[in-house]
Amino acid sequence: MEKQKVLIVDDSEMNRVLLTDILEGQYEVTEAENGRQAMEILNQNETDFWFILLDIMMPEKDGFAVLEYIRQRYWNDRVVVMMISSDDSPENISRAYSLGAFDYIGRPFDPMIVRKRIANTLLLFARQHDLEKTVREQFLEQQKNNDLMVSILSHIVEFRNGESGLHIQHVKAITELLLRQLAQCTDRYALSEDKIALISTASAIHDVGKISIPAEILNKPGRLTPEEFEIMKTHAKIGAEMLSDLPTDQSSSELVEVAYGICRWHHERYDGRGYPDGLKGEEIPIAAQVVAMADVYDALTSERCYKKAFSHEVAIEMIQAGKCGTFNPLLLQCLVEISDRLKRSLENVGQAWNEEPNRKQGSRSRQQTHSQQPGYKQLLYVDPLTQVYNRRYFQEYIQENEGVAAAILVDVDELKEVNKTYGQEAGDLLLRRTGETLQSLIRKSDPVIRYEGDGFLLVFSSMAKSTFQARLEEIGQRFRELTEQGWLQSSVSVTGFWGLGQSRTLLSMVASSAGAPQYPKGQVTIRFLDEKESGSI
Amino acid sequence: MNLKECYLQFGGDYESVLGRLRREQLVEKFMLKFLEDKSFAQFEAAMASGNYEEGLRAVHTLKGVCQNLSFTALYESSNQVTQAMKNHDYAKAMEMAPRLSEDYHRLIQAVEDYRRSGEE
Repeated sequence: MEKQKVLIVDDSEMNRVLLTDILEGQYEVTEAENGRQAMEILNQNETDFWFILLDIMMPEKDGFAVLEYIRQRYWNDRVVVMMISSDDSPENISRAYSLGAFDYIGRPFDPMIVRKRIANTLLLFARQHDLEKTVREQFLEQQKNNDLMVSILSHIVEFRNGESGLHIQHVKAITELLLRQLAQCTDRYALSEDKIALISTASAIHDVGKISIPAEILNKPGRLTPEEFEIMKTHAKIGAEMLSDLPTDQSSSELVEVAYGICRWHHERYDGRGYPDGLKGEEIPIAAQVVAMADVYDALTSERCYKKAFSHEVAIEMIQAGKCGTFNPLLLQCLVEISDRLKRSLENVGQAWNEEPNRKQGSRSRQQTHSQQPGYKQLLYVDPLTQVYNRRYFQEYIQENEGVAAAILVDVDELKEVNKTYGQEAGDLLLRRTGETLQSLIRKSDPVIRYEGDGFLLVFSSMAKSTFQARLEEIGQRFRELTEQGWLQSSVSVTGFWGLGQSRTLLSMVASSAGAPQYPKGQVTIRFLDEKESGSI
Repeated sequence: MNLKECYLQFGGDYESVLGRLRREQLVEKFMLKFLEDKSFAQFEAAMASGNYEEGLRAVHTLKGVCQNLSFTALYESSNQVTQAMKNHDYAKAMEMAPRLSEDYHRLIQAVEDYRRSGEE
């Protein structure tokens, strides 16, 4: 087994020799004479787990600077620091702890105690890490099984309806987009991220009741007779009953409760003229209202056995004009607001769907490999806070993909300020929402990476320059909206990098611009850097 | 002169250091290694040029090393100078510097003697 790495950071050679003597054999010991050297060593071995023995008073960069450096990079999960300063004043010790030091060893060094303290600390970390890993893996496994079962169920229905698998995917995607937009417009429906995910998942079984409708009616090419239509309409109630007939412990789960509402009321209308119960306005659960709109939009834009497909624009117009029944005015507003994204994201869903069979023929890109194996790779490559890819992923991605054409760096400045003023949780929330926002704005095949503490990088493998510039404007615009709506108060810089298709060149452009300039507070700055023009090769 | 007598001569706590390091050879190794330690020379040079920040760092380091090796007398004088320097009381630090120097040279002398007695 490989030995654990220990980094001794102390400006006194005597002390380093003493500690090395104590630890050698058991650990792989590296020495640094000052804080700056320590930072360099940590930077060179970005994926390694380090145990650091850190002095405070040192030339060039002191111990506090090292702690600050670690904290800014969110390295606390791969670096454990034990202070070894001979300055045992309470102010210094407490400052070190508050900067993230794990423990403190006083002078004089007792070899037995030093060894024990290190061994125990490592054991503690290993246990915690294993536990976290187990819990996360179990959770992911469960999530995967849930999604799988819902997917199987909805495909059975689709299959019988003679529709493509796209309808379910579309309704789910539209539902999610609408809910996100709605959450930004109003607090009325208490739409948390979890809630949105739950409703989107449940939306997949909105038509489950159709399983009981005779096939002749279900797949009849022409118009239904009034009698046939009456039979068709029973699918809503039947679907809901199927769910309420589940054993109590299952029917009382949140997913089933939400799905019940969706199945039963996704044909209700805001003016009370829908079916089966004729509910009116806010009597209809919001989940059902949203799925109803998503269902209608997709029905209009798809070809069915009884009709041709309408264009996106026509479909939006028809819904706005009330041609498919009356909807919640707030939802109609949201539909208009997401119109462009809707049009684009549905193209993406379609693409991903059609590409599906290719995945089995070997991994063409890492992105696809990852989505197949949520286990340890998820842990290795995904930032646990924001759920976007981490920097380790980025480095490997760049190595494997030579032809990266363009990148966009989104920097949420003054995150520190937010943490200080509103607390760490507010900062975390800000990061999570930034990550989500970015993911909703780009193609599924383009990775979003948490590049630095508060910087996100979007990487585009192939894209026309004009498309890229439009995309850049769009992303900047989105952040302007968020700033205007008030949930983002710090300043954001959005920088586009356009390269000649050489990953390495592009990378150095990004690296040289990261974190440098200061922008006006509360504003969104958009920049476009062309490799040829900037000449920074 | 044996190791214990040497410690006695420069005012160190031999029992304490042996209690921690366990082996005589280790105590000897680090004591001899101290002859190469530059922190005292750095302290003197820094003070001579009025660079108090550097001076504090050097005497602070010296103090830390003395603590680890149970050089009790030198630890005490270096600790006092460190405290004075930390409080920016440079007059007091200068006042105590001769004693620090005296303790340091007494220790170096004793260790040198010990080394020679071993070589003979």
